Amino acid sequence: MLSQRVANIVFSVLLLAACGYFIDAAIGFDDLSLPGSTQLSSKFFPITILLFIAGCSGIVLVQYILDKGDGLRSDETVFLSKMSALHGLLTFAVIVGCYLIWRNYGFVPAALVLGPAAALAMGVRKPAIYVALVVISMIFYFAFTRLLAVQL
Amino acid sequence: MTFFKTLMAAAVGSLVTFTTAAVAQDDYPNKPITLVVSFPAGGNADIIARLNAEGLSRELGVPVNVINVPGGGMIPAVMNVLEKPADGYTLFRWTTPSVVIGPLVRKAPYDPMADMTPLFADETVANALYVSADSEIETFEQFFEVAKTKKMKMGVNNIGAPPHLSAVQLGQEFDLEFNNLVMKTVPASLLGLVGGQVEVAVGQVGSFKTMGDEIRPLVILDNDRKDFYERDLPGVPTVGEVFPGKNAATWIKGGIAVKAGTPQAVIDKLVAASEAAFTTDEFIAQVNNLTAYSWVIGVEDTTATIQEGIDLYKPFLDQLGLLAK
Amino acid sequence: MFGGSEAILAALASLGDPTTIMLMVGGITLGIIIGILPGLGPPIAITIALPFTFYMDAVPSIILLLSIYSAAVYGGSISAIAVGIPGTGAAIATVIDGHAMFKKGRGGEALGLSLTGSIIGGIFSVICLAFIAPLLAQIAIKFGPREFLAISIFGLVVVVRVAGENLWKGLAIGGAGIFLTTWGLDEVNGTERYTFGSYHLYEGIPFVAFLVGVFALSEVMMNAETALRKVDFDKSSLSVKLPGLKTLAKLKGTIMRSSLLGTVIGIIPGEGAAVGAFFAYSEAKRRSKNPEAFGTGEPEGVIAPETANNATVGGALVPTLTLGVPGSPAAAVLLGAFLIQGLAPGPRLFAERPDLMYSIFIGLLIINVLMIFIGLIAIRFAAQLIKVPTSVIVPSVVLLCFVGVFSVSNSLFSVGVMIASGFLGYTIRKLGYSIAPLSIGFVLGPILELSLRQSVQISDGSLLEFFASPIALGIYGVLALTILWGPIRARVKKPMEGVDDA
Repeated sequence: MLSQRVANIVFSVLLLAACGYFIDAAIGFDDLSLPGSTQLSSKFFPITILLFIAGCSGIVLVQYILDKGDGLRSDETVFLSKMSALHGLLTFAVIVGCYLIWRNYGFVPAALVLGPAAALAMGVRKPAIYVALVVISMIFYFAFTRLLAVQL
Repeated sequence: MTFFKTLMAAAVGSLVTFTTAAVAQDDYPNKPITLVVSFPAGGNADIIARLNAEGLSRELGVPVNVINVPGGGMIPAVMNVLEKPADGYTLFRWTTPSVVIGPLVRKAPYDPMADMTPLFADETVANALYVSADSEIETFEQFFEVAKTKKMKMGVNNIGAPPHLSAVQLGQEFDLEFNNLVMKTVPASLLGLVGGQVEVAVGQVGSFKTMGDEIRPLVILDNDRKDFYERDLPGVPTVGEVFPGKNAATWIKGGIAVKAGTPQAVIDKLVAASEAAFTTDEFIAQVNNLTAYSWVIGVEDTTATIQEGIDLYKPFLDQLGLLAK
Repeated sequence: MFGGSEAILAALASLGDPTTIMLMVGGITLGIIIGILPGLGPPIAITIALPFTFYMDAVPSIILLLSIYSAAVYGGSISAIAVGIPGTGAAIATVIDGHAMFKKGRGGEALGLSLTGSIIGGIFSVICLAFIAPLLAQIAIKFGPREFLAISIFGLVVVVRVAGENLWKGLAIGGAGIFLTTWGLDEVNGTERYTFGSYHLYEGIPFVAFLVGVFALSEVMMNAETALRKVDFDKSSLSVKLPGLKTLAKLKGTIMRSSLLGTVIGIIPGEGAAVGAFFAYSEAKRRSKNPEAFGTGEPEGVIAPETANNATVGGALVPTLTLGVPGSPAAAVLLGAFLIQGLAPGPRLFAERPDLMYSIFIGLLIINVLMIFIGLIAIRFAAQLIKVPTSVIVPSVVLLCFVGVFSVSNSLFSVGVMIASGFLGYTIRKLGYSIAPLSIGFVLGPILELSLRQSVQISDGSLLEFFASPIALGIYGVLALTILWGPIRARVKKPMEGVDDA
């Protein structure tokens, strides 16, 4: 299983890379401020914050590499078990999938798919729950469109 | 209890539409309408839109929901409307920044005159120059003397918004330089005067009502006098009256538009409903509580009015080098 | 005060009207429901009811909106505690300990604490509003860029306090929260920053979508991992109990400080209930004898933010009523309602319509009392939620988040942002980061940048000018004290303890 130490080292490296990317992007901002006025340019603040983030995640990276620091929990794993990782990530996939259904086919099909698909992703076996989820989706749909007049 | 009468009317109205909708699907409108506003909830622009929504809902018999899509140079709000079909179920509350200034100063992904069909204009706003009530500056002439000697801290709401452009115009016409501070809203700019964060600020003519005792109007930032100036700021001159020949013209209006390509029958229905709802004494009084009422109805007349605005701001923005290339 | 007994009688008469009472009950119910729903907060709750007030008299319409406002600020805590999802931004801080209590089987207690805290905070702020509003407004006026900068820097210290187990991780992710607020058009000069050529990003990352994603969706995925496991709970957690006098006496220091903090933060124009709640939470943690217990279900961690966020309601009304400048986004909508009635809030309103002012003060007190009863009914239901299987809650909450975020601006793009932020929130939680600093950074970022840049502009580049404001100096002073107090006390105590030991 993925350990906190490895995962955090990867994440810190990603964070550092992202900081580099965004600093590079910030340097290219067109500055529209009028000349002659005492103003901080548009890039100043984002670059400062990015340097700060990079500094902090650099320290985190070093802490994990040396395995020395507060609350690192290096030996723990990121997920409890393979099954729990699967349930969590599959649920996310269902959320993304339903969003795409909503984009392309409208809200009602997305809402009807969401409940049962998510239950499947979580490994639910009881049929009653599938039925309950479809009913709940319909109740929400009517409550929002009729009572709060949201146009879905 | 007029409130309950309205509520009952709305209830009956929606019942009627639900039943008729089943019979005649193509009979506009048969479902709720959305009105997109490019300002956050609560400001004058938003409140007028809500009055519009309420009036249209009464005339058309379907709910009209207001959606706030503020900020981002008003572009997200406009695009929110243009992404939807041109069926008259999404309306847009247009104002000067979204149909005139925005597309001029920025590479906007839309052309207001080609992509939108304006139905009417119902409000007009004018800017005024204010200082704190305990300021030594009492007249526009005195302000002029002080502003020549130093770069005054000028409070404006947002970059590119009409108050900011008025300040820029003032600086250009009188050869003054200001240190413009973005205060985000007009009340915040004026509060900045009272708190001493800015020395002078551009607010609206109607702002004086709420902040009366704390601030002092110096001049109305316009050339010619309009009828509501005397009501809102009695005795305050316009720039044109104090210094004839100097230009301080503004064009700040608002109304409702639909996406271009909306069927003529739908437009006719909306125009008729607007005429019925927004020429009532009640509506006029409510708008006058907020800003000033100025009525133009019909696609052609409203389009011509907006063109006036573009013609006014285009050369001025060009001079400043702010026109989008 | 103004007007005298005649005005008070007139106010009581209009408040005693059965229609007005009905409006209060209806408004509180609507407010609580909207508050509970993720994504929909107080400003939306008020705007839903706004059109109804166009044809009502001034007193009933303002009372209706105030009921909704107070109740919506409170309602957010119910879902925060029972599901771990803040119904409103104001309830973000409540999630940390409130949901931890709920999971430990102390849900009924946590819900009772949040209700009681909300009522006390609400009443405290109304009393401040009624008696010292004009005085308080004078402080609010003085808040300019330098003072906002000081407050934002104070807020950054809060980031440190909720950083979690590892300070550097907390700081990095807090910084990320601030950084994400720089996206969109730069409001100082109109420069495009990180818009990636999409007009959707011109206004930056949508606030509600981001926060709902980070909190609600990440929580949903955490729950999905173990959805099949049976939740063990005590029968006692199902019964809601309001804290007794003994408990309240023990918490009175926290309650008083939080009420005060909430009221003050509410008064500052632009600072909302979320900031007030976070400041109160961090203050309660700093003052606590066992700060390390915070985050694991401390009653103080529930009552502090909940007291403070409802105290911001009365606070936000101070500048709204006395200056005509809204103290919060919800108060901005309220201001609009006044203008529609032809009433211009400002110093003159107190003199011209004393009956209306009394109606507001007394009305708010009645609203808070009614909220106890309606709130109790609501939390009885909420406490039962623990009986609902996680596998049912997860998809239902996702659907609520979808609809809630979509309805803010009818935008599917916002829903996409919510999902992306949800994945970000889930990832960092899995890696042992706390999401509280991320959200505070996101709330404080815009004020921090704008006030910093304006301060530079005002001071013409001189660093000394930053401190040329007594209020800002005062805030920095308090800040220095809160940071140094711990070490100082430790140093003073240590030798003494040494003596004791010997």
